[in-house]
Formats: sequence, C-alpha cells, structure tokens
Amino acid sequence: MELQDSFYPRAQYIETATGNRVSRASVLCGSQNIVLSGKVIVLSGVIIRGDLANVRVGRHCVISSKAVIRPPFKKFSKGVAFFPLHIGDHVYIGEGSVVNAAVIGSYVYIGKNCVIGRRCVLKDCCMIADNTVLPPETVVPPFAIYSGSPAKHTGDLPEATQDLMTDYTKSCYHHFIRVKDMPPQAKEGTTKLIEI
Amino acid sequence: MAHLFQVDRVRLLCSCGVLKPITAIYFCRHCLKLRCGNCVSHEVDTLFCPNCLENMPSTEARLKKNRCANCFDCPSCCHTLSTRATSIQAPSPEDPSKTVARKVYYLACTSCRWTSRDVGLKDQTVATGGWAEQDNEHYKELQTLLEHYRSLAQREKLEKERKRFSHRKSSYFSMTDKYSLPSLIGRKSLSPLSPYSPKGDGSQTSELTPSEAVEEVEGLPADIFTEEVNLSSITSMEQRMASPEWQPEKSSDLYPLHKHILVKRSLRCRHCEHNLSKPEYNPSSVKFKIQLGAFYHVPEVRMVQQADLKWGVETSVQISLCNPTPHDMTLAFLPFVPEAHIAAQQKGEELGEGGSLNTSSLVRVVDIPVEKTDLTPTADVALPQGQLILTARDDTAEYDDQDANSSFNDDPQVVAWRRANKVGVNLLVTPQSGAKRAIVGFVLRYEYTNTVATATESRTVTLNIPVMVDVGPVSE
Repeated sequence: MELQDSFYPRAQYIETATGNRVSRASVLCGSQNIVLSGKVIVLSGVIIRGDLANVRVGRHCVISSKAVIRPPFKKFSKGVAFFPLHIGDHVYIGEGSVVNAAVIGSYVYIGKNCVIGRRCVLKDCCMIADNTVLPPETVVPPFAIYSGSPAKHTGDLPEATQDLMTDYTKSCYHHFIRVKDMPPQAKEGTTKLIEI
Repeated sequence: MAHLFQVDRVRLLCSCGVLKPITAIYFCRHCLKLRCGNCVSHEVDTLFCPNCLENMPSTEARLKKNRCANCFDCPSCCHTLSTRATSIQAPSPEDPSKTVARKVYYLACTSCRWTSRDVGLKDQTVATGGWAEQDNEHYKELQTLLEHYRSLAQREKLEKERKRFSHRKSSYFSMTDKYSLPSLIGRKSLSPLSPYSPKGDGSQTSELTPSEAVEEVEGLPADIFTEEVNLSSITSMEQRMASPEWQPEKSSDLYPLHKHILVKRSLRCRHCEHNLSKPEYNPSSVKFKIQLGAFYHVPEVRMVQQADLKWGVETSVQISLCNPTPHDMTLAFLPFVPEAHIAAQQKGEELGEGGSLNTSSLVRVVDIPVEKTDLTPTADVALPQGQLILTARDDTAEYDDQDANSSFNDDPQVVAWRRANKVGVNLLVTPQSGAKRAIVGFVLRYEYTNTVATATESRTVTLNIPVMVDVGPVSE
C-alpha cells in the first residue's frame, strides 16, 4: 500500500533550512543539545529531553505524535549520570512510544505505544512491534523483530529491510505536504500519517 | 514487516508454487526464475551471540551447545541478565582483623528482578565469567548413549558406502583420474571411505545395557495431599522448558541459562548453485556481499488506495509499479490462468533441466515438489492493453523536480501518474458475488536486462511473473 498524502498547516510547523519539520505543539527541552540532521519530521505532542543530555537524530527520521525521546541514565555510587542518545538515519518511532535507549541504529522501526528501556542498544535494521516493552539494557540484533512484554525475539526481517525503511521514511516525508490552510475534509495531518 | 506498506497484500508466485510477498522472494539471475525460502538451500555463514554480538566458530558453538559462554538469560522471564556490581565488607587478606571494601558481581534481571543471589549462587569477584556450571546427573549416561548411536550410524554409513563402492568401482576411479579429487568430492563427504575416519569400532559400544522399565512406580509423597500449594514457588511451563536438561519444578532451582546464539545464513539456488544472498561476516553489519532479492530485480506492485468494493460492481483500483533496476523496462499485463501457467511451468522445467545438465553435469539438481496453492481469484479484472515503459531507477531523481510526464505516450485512462521510476496504473476490478475479499491475479510480462557479465545471449529477456493482489474487503 502506498502512503496517503497528509497535510499540515503552515502555521503549525517550523521548517528548517535542512528540511526538518517540527510541530509547534511539540516540546523540545534544551534545544541547544538537540541535533536533527535534516528531513526529520517531529509531530505534535512529541517531547525530546535535550536538557538531560545530547540527542542526535539522523536524516529522514519520523517521530510520531506523543512520543517521548529521553536520554538514559545510569546509577553510580555517587548519584546518576545521563548519557547522550543517538538515533541513526531512516528511523520511525511510533505514536506514544517512550524511548530511553542509548543507541538506535539506522533503518529501525519502533511501533506504537512501546517502551524502550534504559540504555538499550538497537542495532541497524531491527523492528520493535506495537505495544512492546523492551526491558533496560537489552541489545536488539540486526534483522530481529522483538515483541511482547518483556520483549522476546519473535521474528526476522527480510534482507531488503534497509531499502524498505529508506523508501518508507522518504515517502513519509514526501507525503507530508504543507498547505496554507487545512482542507475542510482532512483532519490534522498527523493522525493520517500514523494510520498505516 | 507486515504493515510497512502492507507488502503481503501483493504476492508473487514463486517457481515452486508458493505465493509470497516480494520481500520473501529471491530472483536467481542465472536461472532467471523466482526462488523463495522454501526452494533454496540455506547455509549457516556465521554464528554470533545476539547480546554481545561476537562471532563464534562453528566448532566452538557445537562444543558449547550453540550457546554463548558469557551472556546469560534470566531463567524466570528469558530476558538477558545484566551484571551488577556492589561492594561488600570483607576481611583484608593481609590483616584478617581489618575489613576492606571489595567489589563483587552478581547477575540480575532488569525485567523481573530475579538475581543470582535468589538461588544461592555465590557472588563473583570478576565481572565476566567464573559462573559455576550446573551439572546434569544423567550426563554420563547421555554421553555413552550418544557415543553408542554415533558408532551405530557410522557403521551403517560405512556398510552403505561399501555396497555402493563395489557396485561402480570402475566408474568412480575413471572420474577421479580425470578431475582432481578434492575439488570434485569436496561437497560430498568422503570421510566414510578414508581409513582414518571410523573411530568407533562398533564392537566395544554395542555392549550397552538397555534400560529396563520398572514394574512399580514410586507413590506420591503423603504430604502432597495435605500441604497447601504455593503457586509462586512453582515454575511455569515456559520456565521448565527453557532449561530442558533440568526442568526445575521449584522456582528456587532456576539457574541462569546461557544465551542461545543466532546465525547469519546465506542462500543458494538449488538448481544452479549460485548464491542468492550472502551477508557480510560482521554480526552487526546489515550489508550483503550478494543480494539477489526480487525486491531489486522484479518490478514491485503496490496498492495505492483502498477502494470501496461491492459484489458485481466494476470499480477502478489503482496500483503502482516501481522499477528497481538501473535499466528501462517494458511492461505488459496478461491474464493469469493458473492451470495453464502450471502446465507451462512443468514443460519449461523439463526443457530447462536438460539445459542445465549440459552446462555442468556434476551439479546435483534437487527437485523441489511443486506446492499446491489456492490460486483462484475472487474477482475479475480488466487489464490494460498494450505496453508501458518504466524508467530506470535513478537515485538522483528525488533532487530534481522536472516532470517526466511529457516524454511518454500514455493512455490517460490507464496511467494515472508517473513519478521517477514509478507508474500509477488503473485496473477495473469486479468482485464476484459472495467473495469476502477481492483477490485478482495477473501475469506481469516485462523485459529484464540481464546483468550477468558472461551472458552470451541477448541481454534482455522477457519474463512472466504471476502476481496475486488482495484488493481489499468486499461488501454487498
């Protein structure tokens, strides 16, 4: 199924020179610590906690509405320390997911309502199914599908995952179209983009 | 990846008769046929631990029963255990009257809070390794049994080999003279013939005393009827099955399990023995040395929009076609008749077998029985006549905005839009009454530009690929 066009009103989004589209209804704490590398879509209700540690998001990522991106912490004998969070290119983060990972590789798909525990490492080309709870410090190997609570390795991705994810995140970007005013029949574009 | 573009709504018919989505199909560019996981040979390339992502040689993996030496799974919830460090007060080695802080390590599950202290495992002074292995009380017995059966198998193999050997002794030697022996027999195991290999003599282990069934079974303990059952102290079925050698009944007997290792595998076409997929050696790499997925060689068909379908009503349905190859492609739609297709395929296979035998008589062609798949469409489809041209894939196309519409003489009734290497095509679908989902079938005929360097024939080949599309649910 090809993705459907979804529209967003110009006034509600900020488009940067590198093509990032960030909703005005999102919360980017400590924005000087947040790097969006270009063509990243940040939808409404997203919270990115740059105030805790650096957050770097690669190109062509999609962060769906109400997702929380929060750098992980580690307990030491003298208090806690926060660690930077790196997200690779072509990563999709589903609606309402909470991401506490240390590293997310490229071409990763995270479904809706997931919890990615502290200091998880998601390698390239892996997938977290909807409603998954990934306990802290999990390593997800390439081409694995993790699902359930606690998450288990339940399936494998096809070899073409890299190109599928590239195609998917690129078409998310191309089908997310700016309009001056919302057309009467279309609701807020964000909801349509997620219902795929 | 079922829901990414819902790839399983469009399925291709593999040469073995199974319908699979394009991501699960491979294209052998030497046989010019579709292959799938069902009809290729799988080979283990590398073994690695999914947690520490370290390679393991296959001999070591066999010794360690395909488990990682350093990583553990929680016996209670099967999540990976992590090492925790704490400091304890211990008597100093120099002066026992003083105490010093020492760092000790234990294993803890971050998911269910199980720790190695729960089962009385001693804390370790080193961060990795050092954990005592659990001994199986039946280990010796199992080992002798294994040995016994191994020698039996060896003997049986030897006898079989001897029979065959005496049968065509002459032909075998003429062959070994003609070609160099090791390269020829490399794939077939020669070991039973060599005088060094049969280690088990057979005679010594055959004295194994068979186990005897006991007439009387020990009764249940008396307190089982009176004692109250505490379910939290009893293991669940999954927990027992996770450690098959011990199958602990009480949760206090759960010991950390070594993590299972994963494999990277390469796929090989069974007809021409060429690799269809070969991953890179490094476990965390996602690149491939050889990747002949259908996704990169066969035009991809995708549904564009969900149409409202009604029984017996002709509806226009849009599909998109995408050319993944760096060559222009001419494409046509043909009606799909399952019976005719299967007959034609069988005919082609007979011809094709003769051809492949000519090229190399030593390649063992493995016949894969054709699967029976339900190929009956539940909707009629009016296919567009004539040919379509799909432009080559061009990675720079996304950066320029020019419209390519003008250069093609497309029928606006058929072609809805064009974008780089993609075309939107309208099909007229009429669901049959009574059908819950409309499934249409057609044959995609396209010109494939052969990329094999040594191909002597013409570089473009016409290929027919049957496609079944699930157009969607139908209402009355």
